[in-house]
Amino acid sequence: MSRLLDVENLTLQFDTDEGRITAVDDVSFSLEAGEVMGLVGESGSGKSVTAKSLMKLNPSNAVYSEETKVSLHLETGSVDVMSLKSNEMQVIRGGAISMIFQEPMASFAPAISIGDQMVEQLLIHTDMKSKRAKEVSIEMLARVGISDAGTRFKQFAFELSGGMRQRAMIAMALSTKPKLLIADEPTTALDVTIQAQVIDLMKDLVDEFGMGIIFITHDLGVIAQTADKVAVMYLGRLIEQGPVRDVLRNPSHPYTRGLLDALPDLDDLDTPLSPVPGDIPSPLERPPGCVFNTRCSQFIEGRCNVDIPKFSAISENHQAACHLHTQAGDQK
Amino acid sequence: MLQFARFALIRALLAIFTLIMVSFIVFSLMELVPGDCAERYLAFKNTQGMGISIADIEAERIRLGLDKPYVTRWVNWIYNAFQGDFGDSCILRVNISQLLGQKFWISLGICLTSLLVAYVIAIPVGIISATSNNATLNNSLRFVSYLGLAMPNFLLALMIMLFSTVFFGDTLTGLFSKEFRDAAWSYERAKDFLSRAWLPVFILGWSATAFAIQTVRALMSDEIGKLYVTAAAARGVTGRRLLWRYPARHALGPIINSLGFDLNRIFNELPIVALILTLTEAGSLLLESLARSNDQQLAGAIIFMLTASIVGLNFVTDIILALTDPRVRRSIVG
Amino acid sequence: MTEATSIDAVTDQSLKEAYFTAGQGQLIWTRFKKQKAAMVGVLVLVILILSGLFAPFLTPYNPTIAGRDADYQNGAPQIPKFWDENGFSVRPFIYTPSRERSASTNFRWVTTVDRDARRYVVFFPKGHDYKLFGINGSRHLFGVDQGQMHLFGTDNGGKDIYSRTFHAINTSLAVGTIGVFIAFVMALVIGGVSGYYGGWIDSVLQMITDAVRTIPAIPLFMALSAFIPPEWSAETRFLFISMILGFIGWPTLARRVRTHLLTERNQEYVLAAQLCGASAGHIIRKHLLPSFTSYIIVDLVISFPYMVLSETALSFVGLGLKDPVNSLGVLLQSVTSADVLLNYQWYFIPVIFFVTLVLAFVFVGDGLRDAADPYADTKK
Repeated sequence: MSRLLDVENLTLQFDTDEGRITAVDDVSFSLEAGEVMGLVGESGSGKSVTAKSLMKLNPSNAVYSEETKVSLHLETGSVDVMSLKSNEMQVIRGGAISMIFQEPMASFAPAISIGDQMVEQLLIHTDMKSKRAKEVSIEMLARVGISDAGTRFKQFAFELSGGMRQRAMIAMALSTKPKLLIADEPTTALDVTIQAQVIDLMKDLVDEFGMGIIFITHDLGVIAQTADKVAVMYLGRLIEQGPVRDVLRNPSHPYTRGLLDALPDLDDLDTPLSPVPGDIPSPLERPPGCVFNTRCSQFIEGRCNVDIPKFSAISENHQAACHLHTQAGDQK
Repeated sequence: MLQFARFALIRALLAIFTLIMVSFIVFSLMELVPGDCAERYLAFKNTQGMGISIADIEAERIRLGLDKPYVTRWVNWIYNAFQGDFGDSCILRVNISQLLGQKFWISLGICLTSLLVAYVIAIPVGIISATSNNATLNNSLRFVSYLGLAMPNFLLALMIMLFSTVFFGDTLTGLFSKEFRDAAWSYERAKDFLSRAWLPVFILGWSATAFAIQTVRALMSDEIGKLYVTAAAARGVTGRRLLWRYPARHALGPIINSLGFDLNRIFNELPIVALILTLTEAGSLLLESLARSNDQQLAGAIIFMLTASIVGLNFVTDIILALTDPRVRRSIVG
Repeated sequence: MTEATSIDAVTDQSLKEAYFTAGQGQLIWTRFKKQKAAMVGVLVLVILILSGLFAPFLTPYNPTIAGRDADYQNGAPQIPKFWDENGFSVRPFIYTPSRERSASTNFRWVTTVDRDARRYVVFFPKGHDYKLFGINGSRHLFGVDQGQMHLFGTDNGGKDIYSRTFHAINTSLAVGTIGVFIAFVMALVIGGVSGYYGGWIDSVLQMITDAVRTIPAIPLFMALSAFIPPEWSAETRFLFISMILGFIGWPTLARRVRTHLLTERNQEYVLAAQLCGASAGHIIRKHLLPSFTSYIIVDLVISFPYMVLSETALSFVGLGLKDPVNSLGVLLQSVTSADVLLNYQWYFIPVIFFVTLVLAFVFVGDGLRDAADPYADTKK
């Protein structure tokens, strides 16, 4: 496998009336071609913002730090995303990177037909003529399992069912054969049965197209099914990452453990659920030291609320940012 | 196509129904006014030095059909109104359609032009202010539109008159110069008309523009925040195309929808502006018919025609909306 | 949309508690306080309302023909001075004008100012009697020791424009209040019935409301007020005009009430209350009304300036209020003539107050609307 994406020291703040709010704090990760990475966290943990940063899609009040570096390695060479001007973003947006959003209904323009939106994207990114673009679009719609694709092509988002819309969204996202697909909670708004269909569809397409996927979700079950590796975010920071099996079997950050404990155990339904106590703090009052210290059951006074923990290796490729492990590392 | 014709027909029927209801309201209000047409006419004759008896009034009532029951008279009135015949003016004894004649169309033209001007200005300005992060620009735009709301049109008209009297020695009043007032339409007359009509258009357009800017701005900020705009940006749509094809196009529907009420608002201002600028069109004719002669027949006719043009515009915007917005179109065609 | 910005700046737990349990009104007020323009609007508004309410005390003369200054008609504003070529005075003073018409002035009225005859400003002098909140008074905030002074000049009848302006503010506020109140009651009844019962009653009422909304209000009510019998007294006329204005406002408000009720009625908390066995009356009083009273108040504030504007327009064309009732429209009735435009520009001084009043209302109304929108924070 070859390296597709490198994200280094991604830090992003929003300029608001209340001051600068840190949404993403010093996040680094990488992705190989053909690899599926799950990005997990509660609402407000900064996972969507992180994903949008890869295309600089955040609102205009977003401020990226100087150290932030996002490089995308394409066949034609590497692209430094942060240095792209807005008129150069086209290469990436919808071309090298496609994105699927949580609400397929809201992500289609309501008064433009699905076909027109698909053709538009193809015309921007390829040198197809519109007739050919139409053929390709209909082909793609059929590929994602939409029956009677020719008719659907002319229809509007409000005329399709939820699952159908998300399929159409996937068809549109893949029509330009992107190298990286960002899926922002693509199945959250769908029925469970349709969720499974959509996930299967995505897995098949990954195999076929060989692209990298960043899969954003708060559903660890979905991650276990789909992802090769997983990164856990909390309040804008990456707190644990590694191969999906290692992280789920041996969660090393108290927060990851908390998330897993909060899942119902289907074999033993009598055990009470143990949710992570407390609420995620407001981004305006980020706790000093480890961001999770306000809710952590293994909180160490004078350490967790003072020093920001660095990543320490748990096993190969598996890292967690927690003082419990830095201590262990120190003793070695 | 057939379904669309059916939709248009239903809308047209609804519009006619609204008009009938409006005519009932207007007619009833005119009836509530103390005194009727016969009394008024004869009282008017009385002032000319003719002796009037109760019997004369009764005879006049019968001649005018005022002795018939209320509903009969209303049905008669509305039946004739739909054919463009509003009967005779109470006092002037002239056929109202003739009296109003082109005056009404000139007023309507002036109002529609103001509406057009308002949106020609408001659409780009509103879009720019919704998309721009420039605080100074936004605040000054906001202030200008507040001023447009708070400064009554008649004050603006007064100010302009003050200004032009002081600097040009001409009050800029009237729609025609003296020599053209009663002349037939000709190139010269049209030129003269246009050289004067810009002022009422400007004054009526002033607050209409302020309103329109606020509407466009609010709608655009709403649309720009929606996910489909981000999604389109994520597909590589950029620049003007992103602005016009996505949020602007979708904000258009509600704007078209509100045109009828905008026209209503302009009509509200018309009589007062007309009075100040002493224009010879329907607005000031209405004032004249009310303030000077209590001519309920004429007043009713003018109000009915104003409302009819609003209902007409609403019908047209409904059809346009159905043609441009697939959500509406599909709900009709099925 | 952005997960990060939607969370509010609440620092400590008890504050947070207060935030989450705050009523609609408290929330609106919290958000409202943050808007500078609206807060300035509130300040200006309070000052104007107070000066309107206390107009009889704040102004030195009777605004009607009874308080006219026969010696100073169409007189320019008199600005108190502390100092002139005759020396300095601790007490501000104005000069005594005199009017003369003779062969030497070409038989026109000419006002001359006698710079030696000073009139000193005094505070709390005894003036004409007035009644303020049921209390009889004759003291005024200021005046001059002899004759009269006219800060904003006088009109063609010699009436003090300063006094008239403040009384006009009072009238405009009263007209607006009565108008808004009537519109509100009608809106509440019609919109309430429509929204609460729904179904065909709603359809019929909506059709009527829509029909009324299409009629241009001002021409219609011009028509109505034109037929006010001339023998009615100024006070009856005032009441009638305010009522007419109330009829302008109701359809829009009624629509809002209906929409509020329709959406709230189907909320789950209403169903929950019904399941607990609450009666319809209880639900309306304890659940539905509190859910939107603050929004209705916002609507009322927003519709207020339009009432005032309409009154001014009506009075201006001579179909609204008439002397001796003072309102801005009445004050401006005479300014259309070129004579006034060219020579007596101080007639326009009340306009400044008027525009300020309406602007203040619009700012406050806008601020309230933004504050009342629960999604205002997240929409940015």
